[in-house]
Amino acid sequence: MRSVLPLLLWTGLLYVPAPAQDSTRDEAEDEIMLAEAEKLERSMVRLVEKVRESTVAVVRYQRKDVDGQSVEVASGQGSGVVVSRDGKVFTNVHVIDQASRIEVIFADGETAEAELFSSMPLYDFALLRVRRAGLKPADFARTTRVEPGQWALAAGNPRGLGADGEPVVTLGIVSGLGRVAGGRYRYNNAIQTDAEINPGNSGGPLFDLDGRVLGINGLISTRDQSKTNVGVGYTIPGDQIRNFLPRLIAGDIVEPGYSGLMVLPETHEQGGVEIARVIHGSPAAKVGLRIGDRIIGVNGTRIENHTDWSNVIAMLPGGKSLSIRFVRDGRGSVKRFTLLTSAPERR
Amino acid sequence: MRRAGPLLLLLLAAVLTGRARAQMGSLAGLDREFTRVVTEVAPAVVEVEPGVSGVCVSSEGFILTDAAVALRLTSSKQTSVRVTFPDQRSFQATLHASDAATRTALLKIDERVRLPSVRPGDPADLEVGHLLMTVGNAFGTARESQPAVTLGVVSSIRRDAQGELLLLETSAATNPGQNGGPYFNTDGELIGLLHQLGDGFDLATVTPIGRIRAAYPTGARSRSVFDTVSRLDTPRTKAQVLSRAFQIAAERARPQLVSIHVQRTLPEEAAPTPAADEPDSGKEQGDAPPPPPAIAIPEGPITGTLVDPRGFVLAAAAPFGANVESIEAVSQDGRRFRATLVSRDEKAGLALLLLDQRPTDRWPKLKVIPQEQLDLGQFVIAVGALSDPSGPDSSGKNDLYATVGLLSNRHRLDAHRDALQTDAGVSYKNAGGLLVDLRGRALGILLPPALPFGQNSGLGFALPMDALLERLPLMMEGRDLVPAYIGVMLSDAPGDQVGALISDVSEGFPGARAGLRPGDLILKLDGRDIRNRQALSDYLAKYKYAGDALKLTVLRAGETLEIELQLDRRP
Repeated sequence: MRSVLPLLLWTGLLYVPAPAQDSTRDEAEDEIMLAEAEKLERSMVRLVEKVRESTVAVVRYQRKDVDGQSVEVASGQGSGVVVSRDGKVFTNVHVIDQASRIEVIFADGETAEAELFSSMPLYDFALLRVRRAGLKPADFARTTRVEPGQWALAAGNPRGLGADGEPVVTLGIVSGLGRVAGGRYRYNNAIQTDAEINPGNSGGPLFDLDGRVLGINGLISTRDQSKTNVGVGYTIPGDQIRNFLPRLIAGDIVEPGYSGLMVLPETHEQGGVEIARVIHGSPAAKVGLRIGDRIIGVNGTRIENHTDWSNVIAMLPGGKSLSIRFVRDGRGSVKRFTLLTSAPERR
Repeated sequence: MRRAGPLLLLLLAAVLTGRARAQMGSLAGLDREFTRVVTEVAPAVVEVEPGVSGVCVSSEGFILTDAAVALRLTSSKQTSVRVTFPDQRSFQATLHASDAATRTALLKIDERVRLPSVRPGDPADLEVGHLLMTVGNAFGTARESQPAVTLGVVSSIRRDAQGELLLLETSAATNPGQNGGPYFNTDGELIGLLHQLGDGFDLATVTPIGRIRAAYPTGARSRSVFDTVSRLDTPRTKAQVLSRAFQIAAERARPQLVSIHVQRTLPEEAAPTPAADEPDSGKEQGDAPPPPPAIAIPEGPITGTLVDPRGFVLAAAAPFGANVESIEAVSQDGRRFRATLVSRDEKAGLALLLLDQRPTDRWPKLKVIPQEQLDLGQFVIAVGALSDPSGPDSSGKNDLYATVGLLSNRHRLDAHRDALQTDAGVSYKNAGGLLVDLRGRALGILLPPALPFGQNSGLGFALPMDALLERLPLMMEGRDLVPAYIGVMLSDAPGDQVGALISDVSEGFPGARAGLRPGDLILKLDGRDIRNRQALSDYLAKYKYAGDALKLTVLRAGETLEIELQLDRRP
């Protein structure tokens, strides 16, 4: 077989069949290559089995008026990932928004009723509770160590295909980091991936090759109305979820960490971002930050542009301390304060 | 001593987790290879203007980009453009030369600074199935951060009559905003520049670097424009192993494939375009999409698979409408055949054709892996064969076409059939072609793209080969395979009972003919327990066609009955 394969030369020669002797050597070489590739494949098969275990399908039901009668119908398909043994499932708010009833379908085919336990609407985080014990929670990877080019697996329920308890796994790589996306919900520091993500993948996990969660898939860029994957998906970073998870598990509606300072929406021409407003009495005001200060670093991360700023700030829940490096009147300085868990009530 | 127990357990646990890690270890090495390449090449990928990328090919400041940049420069009397590197350094660059044939332009940064650059590879080394990457700023979302990298394979290679490389087609995701974007092999060598974006049916095409280098023989002081570093004898990487394996798999499938051309009596009515070219950077959130545009049936060649030595070929059915004048098939060795339509599998959307002669003396034995032996997550290659009917190279082979992915599911009930599912790109280019494993063994016939899944969306399907071969004798007799119909209305069993309750029976159809009555509770189908009414329609969709027999186990007035019936076609 191998002897008929083309051996193409760049000099413009046409197909030259390889001599018979070479073909046996080629075949032996092929066998070695295939055996090595199959070793990788076996690891991939084990990995796919592992990532499916903690991936679930989420079905949203809503009440609709049909011939004057209120009927409950399945109105949306999404995905989720098990984050605790006792039945906490992470998904996106936009998956379960306005639901009259939520159903979770596990990878073992079992279906369970779920309730919304807590949420963080701004970042599209929702935590569901399912009355089911002994679940296998997924581990989260440290996303500060993620690098573009590393491989990634998306698991979930695209187009409702995983609603039979068989999550769909797709393969790609991490395309980029630090993406800012979203309209109604804010996606900061998002991981961009070319692992295929389609409608219904929302809320589902993206895994690394160790089977740890890199983040939650929630947005895609599309080129037409078909909402078909074009290889550009956005994943909420695992670190952000991990940072907010304790507050989500404590219940209620979670807000971003509150500093009381606002910056101009564009990058300062000398780099960094300029403070536009400091709320009176806020943590930022108490340490003396002022309008016009140019922020160039937060917690050791350089702030070169507005994207850097919003990406760093969005990661931090209340209780985290903030060390702000800034320039005022040409002189650099640092101020430290602790974020509040929410904005104080307005008086 | 008493303490040793827990300690030993801990030690054992540590050893076991260590082993579990080691199992994934082989893949971890793969990660490092790819991240290393990205770290190497990404700093040299520049933004020339919004939506247009370029790549620095010489440490002396030559930038390769899209020809549109040259056009704008010459028409606007501007003398230079601003080129921004990912580290946010930016420089003015002047137009050095441009070349319409390769749709490229060469810019020169005149500042004397050392710049990150990439070295050209040899695209002649590339074969269908080889991995490649592209770096760019799709939809402009990487504006204030690093450009994005996407991974794919060489999906097809186009050559001119002399056998010279003309274009590569790639499955690496490429989108608006990536004009002028560079493509790299897994060693980090530049192998070409974006030629044209894909549109759902066509994938992105790439101008190979060989042609580009020929267009710019010399730069300043008649030295080469490109940095060339003699290639090191790098140890074999895992990426190279996979590239080679994907190529071997695609090549092994090649003899099984034919390219099919349909001559029509009338021009086809204006087909709906598969995807608007208008870039839409709107990001979409989740679910409830408006109706997507229909998938257009291709005008050009499609793929067929030889499934029998007498010359039976399976292909997508949709192109064989009423106005077909003639069908021609080109086999892998360049022989041409007339083909006639024998029958259709309406559930799968496939057609069986018969060639007017035996295709080959040495029938390539189809190696089939049964559905039940497949592993979720195994690598699969979706192979097609396309040839240009009017092309100069009539003696040449069919162009091989391939995309690569994982087996996402073994039994996916997609609409009307029990299908294999893959994230390898499936479109009308490889529908009717083969889904194969790393050794080129046949797993299934790729199904035509359907809504709402779309083309090359990562949600592709294939009819399992073993199930298909079982049905093939019927199709060869000229029998169309149509969905099965039983003619009963069902509801779920009341209370805690399992089964499907018959609420009504349509006169004159299989259910009524076999004596089924309202009130009968169906417990089993062909001996298998069912839970609810959905199970019956699922079972028929997955396994049955009109004309098949079905055995029902029914509970009627406390008595269990076995009823056998013959399924019919839907009226």
